[in-house]
Amino acid sequence: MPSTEIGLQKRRKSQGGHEFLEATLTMALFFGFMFLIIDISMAVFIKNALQTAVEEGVRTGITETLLTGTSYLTDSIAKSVVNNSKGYLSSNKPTCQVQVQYYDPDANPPGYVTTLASGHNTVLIVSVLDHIYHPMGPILQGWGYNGQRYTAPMPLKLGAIATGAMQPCSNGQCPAATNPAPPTCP
Amino acid sequence: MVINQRKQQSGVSNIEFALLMATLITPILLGVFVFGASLIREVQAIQVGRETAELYSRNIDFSVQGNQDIVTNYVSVGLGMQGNGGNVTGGSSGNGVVVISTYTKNNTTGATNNNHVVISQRIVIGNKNLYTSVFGNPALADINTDGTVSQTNQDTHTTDRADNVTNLITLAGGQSVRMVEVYFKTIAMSVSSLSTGGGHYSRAIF
Repeated sequence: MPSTEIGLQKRRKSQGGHEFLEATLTMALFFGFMFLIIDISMAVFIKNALQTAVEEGVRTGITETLLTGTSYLTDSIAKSVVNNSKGYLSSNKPTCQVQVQYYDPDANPPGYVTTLASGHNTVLIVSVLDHIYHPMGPILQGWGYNGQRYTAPMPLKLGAIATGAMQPCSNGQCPAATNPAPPTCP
Repeated sequence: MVINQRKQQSGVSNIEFALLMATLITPILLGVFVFGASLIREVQAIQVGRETAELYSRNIDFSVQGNQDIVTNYVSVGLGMQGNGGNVTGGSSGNGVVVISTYTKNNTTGATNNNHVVISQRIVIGNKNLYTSVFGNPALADINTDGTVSQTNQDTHTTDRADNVTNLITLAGGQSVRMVEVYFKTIAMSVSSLSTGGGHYSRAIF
């Protein structure tokens, strides 16, 4: 056997397992990027879905629409947000997941109200806060720190907020805004 | 011969990979992130302009601190905007500014500003150092605490004019229009002397 061939065989032997190592490293990088892209896309998609939902909620509120099964504007707005959230919000106790606030800019001083005042503008603020998304890849998961050590990965918290101006209502015609007996939230 | 050649080329691929990462892949990835983030911010700036203009068109008094907070805390949430403590001339911190104006075509017979578009109200919320309106800038002394400009000043002070508003909308004598201009700092990789970053501007007219 020529000496060149023997040399090549030795080299091939010494390189045994390198391909496996390289493939492992490459795959780790590849999957890391793939999960990162999927997680970012999912987060953006869910945030957009929530944004659309709260905007629909504002629309329900400023048009003073009471959806079937609701008697108060807050409940109707929360239900509308859940209905338009593409399934990301649970239909169980909508007002526990959706925050509805009424702000009276014409009051002196301006502030949050629970009852709409006749002849006043009302700024409606609808928000979904801290919606949990569990990323697939470890890069976006992050790690919590409990003050002593790093703990299990934390989920991403997504939120959306929208505002709108309600027409001033006339005396006796203002819709019932806040439910005096809201459901107990967990 | 082949072995020698391989031995000589050992490490060359690593250098090639490093060069490729440094000159091509990393800048492209960074560019995608920065461009994507800027695009989102641009859309947000447009939305802030529209929502503030809608509230302003409902006669909400933005010279009041609590109502300014609606803009800084809710309408522009996540954009790093900071309020200015309730004054109408703006603050000096934060990543954004909202300029709220009412323009009127003056029809006071014989007045210096007759037939000119003048600013009848100007309220600046946020960091005034980021952007100055291109549609007139009245002297600070002309702006009252509620943002209004007195009729006398509208009639006589040429510095209160904003005639280029007519490039956007035609006004008849005595008619008014409300405009909200919005400017937010962009998200950019600020490399000293190479890029100072820019901003996102939008305006809404009601």
